[in-house]
Amino acid sequence: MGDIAIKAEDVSMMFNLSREREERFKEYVINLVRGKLFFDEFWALQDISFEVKKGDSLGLIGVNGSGKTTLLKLVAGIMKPTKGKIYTDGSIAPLFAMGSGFDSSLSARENIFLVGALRGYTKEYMRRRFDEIIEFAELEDFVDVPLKNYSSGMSSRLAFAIATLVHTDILIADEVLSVGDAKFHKKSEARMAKMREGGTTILFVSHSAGAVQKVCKNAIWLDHGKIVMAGTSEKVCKAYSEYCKT
Amino acid sequence: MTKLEEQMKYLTFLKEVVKRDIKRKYYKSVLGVLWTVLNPLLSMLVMTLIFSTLFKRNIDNFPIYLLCGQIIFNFMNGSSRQSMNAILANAGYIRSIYIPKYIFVLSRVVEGFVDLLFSLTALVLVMLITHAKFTLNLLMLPTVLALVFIFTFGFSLILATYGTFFRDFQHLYGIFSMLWMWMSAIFYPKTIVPTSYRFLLDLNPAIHFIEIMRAICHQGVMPTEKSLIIASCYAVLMLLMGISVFKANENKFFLYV
Repeated sequence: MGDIAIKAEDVSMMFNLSREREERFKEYVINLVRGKLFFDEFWALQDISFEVKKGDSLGLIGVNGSGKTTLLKLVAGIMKPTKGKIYTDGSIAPLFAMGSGFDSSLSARENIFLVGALRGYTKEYMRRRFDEIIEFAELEDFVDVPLKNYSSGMSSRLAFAIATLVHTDILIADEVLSVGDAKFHKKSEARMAKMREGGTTILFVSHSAGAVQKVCKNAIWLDHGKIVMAGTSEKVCKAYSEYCKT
Repeated sequence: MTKLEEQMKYLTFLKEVVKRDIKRKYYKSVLGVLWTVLNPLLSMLVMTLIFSTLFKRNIDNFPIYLLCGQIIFNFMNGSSRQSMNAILANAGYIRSIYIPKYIFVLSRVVEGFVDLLFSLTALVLVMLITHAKFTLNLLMLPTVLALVFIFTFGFSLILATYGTFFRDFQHLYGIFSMLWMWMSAIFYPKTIVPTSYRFLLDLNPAIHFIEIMRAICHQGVMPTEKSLIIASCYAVLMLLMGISVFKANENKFFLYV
């Protein structure tokens, strides 16, 4: 792989909408008997190819439903593409706006160790990073409170802190800068800049051109699952902003 | 990094999940983990009261006979039942991070196994009280437990797969487990079943594990080679089946969670 961190080759993702509605065994059997072999294809992504060099940052931009998050999930390995291949080299820290992988009945302390273990870190390693994570997330007074009693800002701060304060080769971030107040916002931007300097590859998603331009060197503009434009983030964001105005 | 090393990485996670679930199970209960010992003891007492009069002449040391069957069956039944929603219950993780999904099934089986190990204390206790024979054959215990574990993990992988796709399975399972229990000759001697129907019982894998367990702890003899071979075959076949079913479907789970 050499100096490539993420590589996507002709990636397509298809969802079968009718199968997703199938929940009950009865309905399944009825449909099967009727011979109605449910096909309602929806291509969330079509023939996407790109490369990200190690230490680079790539922004994905596009309106809601353009396939940005689907692409992130494919890169993170949460889903497998219907067609094409995705290669990644190095450890991945996913950071999604929704569903951060926390167990809401557990405290921040327990969640930190659980998520750490999930990402393959030992307990000793997590123990060393623990104070830093709590401090960054500004949760000193709530370490042993179950997450279900947290505000959404608190739990997203925690998610951000865990994802960015343990060593990672690739950071996959979805709309993260939209969480938290202005102060935390600033802090997280600084943290991401520091990670970039430290050689972390960043794949960043947003529908805001400004945020992508701030964080990323290159960008891809997605629309209806296809690449509209790829290039430096300045160029792509400018074109996207123009498009959004009309 | 080799494939094996990569899987080893997730061992820490497995440990954490097992710890979390056991903690949650006994959350705010006064006796806590002690229940895993008390439960088989108490249900054994109830069963002994009811059944020992029924089968008095057929089985000596009925409490041990019963406990052997009960401990093994409860593990098999409990773990597979818990595995059925292993994927759904961990949807939060599956939606947000990559993780080999069999870990969630394995964690349920390990949790059941921890319970089983605790219940063994109950068995030892009753063996002491009833002056049962402690023989060197007890050294075979780890072997039979390993076989049961392998079988149950394989079975659980299948149930976890279909339990994710069809939630109705969870309701159906109650009926299945009742039938399974009665087919496992836990509290009656196999001899009360007419010979012409006994082959039906032998088709049930659980009964083979239970009989090995009884040979070791109840009769204090070495399990026969034949019984060990049959049990091993069941265990390995079920594991292979489980792995192939799970592997073929695991990439579709995220559509259903």
